[in-house]
Amino acid sequence: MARHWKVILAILAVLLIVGLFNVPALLRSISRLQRAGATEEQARREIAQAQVSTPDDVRDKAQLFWASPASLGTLEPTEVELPLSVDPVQRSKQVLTALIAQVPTEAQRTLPADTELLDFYLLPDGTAIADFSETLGTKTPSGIFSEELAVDSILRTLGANVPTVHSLKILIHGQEADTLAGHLDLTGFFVIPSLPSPASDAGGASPAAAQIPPPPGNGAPVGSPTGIPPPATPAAPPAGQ
Amino acid sequence: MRRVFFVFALAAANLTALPPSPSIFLSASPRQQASAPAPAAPSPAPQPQSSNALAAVVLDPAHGGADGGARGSAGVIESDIVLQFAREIRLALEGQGIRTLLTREGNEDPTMDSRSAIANGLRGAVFISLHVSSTGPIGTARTYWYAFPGDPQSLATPSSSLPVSSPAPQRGLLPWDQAQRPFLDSSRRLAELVQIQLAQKFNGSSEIPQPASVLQLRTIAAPAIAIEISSVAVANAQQLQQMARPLAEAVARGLQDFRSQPTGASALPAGGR
Repeated sequence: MARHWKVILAILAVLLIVGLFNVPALLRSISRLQRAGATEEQARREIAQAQVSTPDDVRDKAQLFWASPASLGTLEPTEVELPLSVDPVQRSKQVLTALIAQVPTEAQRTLPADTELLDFYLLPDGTAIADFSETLGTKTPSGIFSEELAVDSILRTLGANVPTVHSLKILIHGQEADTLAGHLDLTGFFVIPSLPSPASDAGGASPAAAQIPPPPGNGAPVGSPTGIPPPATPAAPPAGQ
Repeated sequence: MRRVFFVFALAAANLTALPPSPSIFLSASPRQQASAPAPAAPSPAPQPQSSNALAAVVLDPAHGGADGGARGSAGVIESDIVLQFAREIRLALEGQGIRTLLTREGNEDPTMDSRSAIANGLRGAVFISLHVSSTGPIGTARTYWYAFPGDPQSLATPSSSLPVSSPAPQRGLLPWDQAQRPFLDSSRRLAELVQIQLAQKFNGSSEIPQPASVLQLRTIAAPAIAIEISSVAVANAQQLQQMARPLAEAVARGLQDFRSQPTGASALPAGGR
């Protein structure tokens, strides 16, 4: 064998040995990075979750709108006891987080399981902006039917529990989206239907709802649960299906 | 910079008062600037219309190309099925002597604006977007007309409570993303007539169409509806393919009813287009 080939082989052998020595360290680094990623994600979730809990929370019944198990394609309200804040922003976060996380059965789910409400803003005139994680767009089943059900469950849940919210803009990961999952127009603001709360059905406002302050500059909460029949909205669920 | 593009309002109260060849102005869409459609072909000269004659029907098989739309576990792909639906409906409509165009003939994926431009470049057209849902009661069909979010005009009140004729239509330039606004009543009427037929063909379907903010319909300056069949969750594609014929018959019958409406009770903007 020629001398230069021997030299090349010797260099390659040295490099191989050095590489083998480094493999365990590389594996440890990869493992550490994976753990760090998971911790960051976990921390983000914990922070987001922590925001939903406030010191003045009162456990009360909220009306959450999930798909009806009896009538496919329609929504039905379900009463769930939740810690609810008097602050409409926190309260909105609480009911929307519960809408995603506390669905009774998977068949009743309207929003993807791993969707997060990243933030919620409320302007003094009752205009709200809900910022959801990207999975709202990527994991909501594509179709007019399913996208409408998803948006309508959000609108009706807000309408039943947060009377100070009058209209809603949906963002996905902080960005305006043309559509939810290819069909439903998200470029505008949705009107929140005012729905009678369970308590108002019983003849009085729920304690937590009664404590929600009216929006600044507005004499009284508009669209408060006063037994007004729910108006059909652009995102109304298909009737009779 | 947000650019706006306009559709010349074809919804004049009296078409004869309009210029003979209304122009359609297109520029980059605020949503699809990167793939703005070419300007629509010049409109054909207007024909005198004494009734709701349909000059053309534009069928829109949704999705296509890389965007397959909804996909079922049995391998059903929405974009393939809706193309078959569109071809079957075209056969039925051409049998009635109605000129029928498809927004795509194969597995392409034109932009939403390109699809709209086909209908907006025609006179007297009707636009029907075809979809298959991911979920929903299998074997049923739903018809939607566009509802501007927050617009009380679009609320799902029974049509009998609304005036028969459209509100005073606008003339002049319309913002592209408001193109559907003058046609809401006629779209709704068309949706009602088609849904009645669909309910007869497909058991379990509602007789009442729904308003929904289906983005594709928003930029159509013509009566426009979306039909969605349930669903890609069928056990095999044949189940959906078998729906093509009754779907085509229902659409053809619904359009026949739509065009046969007396002018005074027009679902089209007064005087047709």
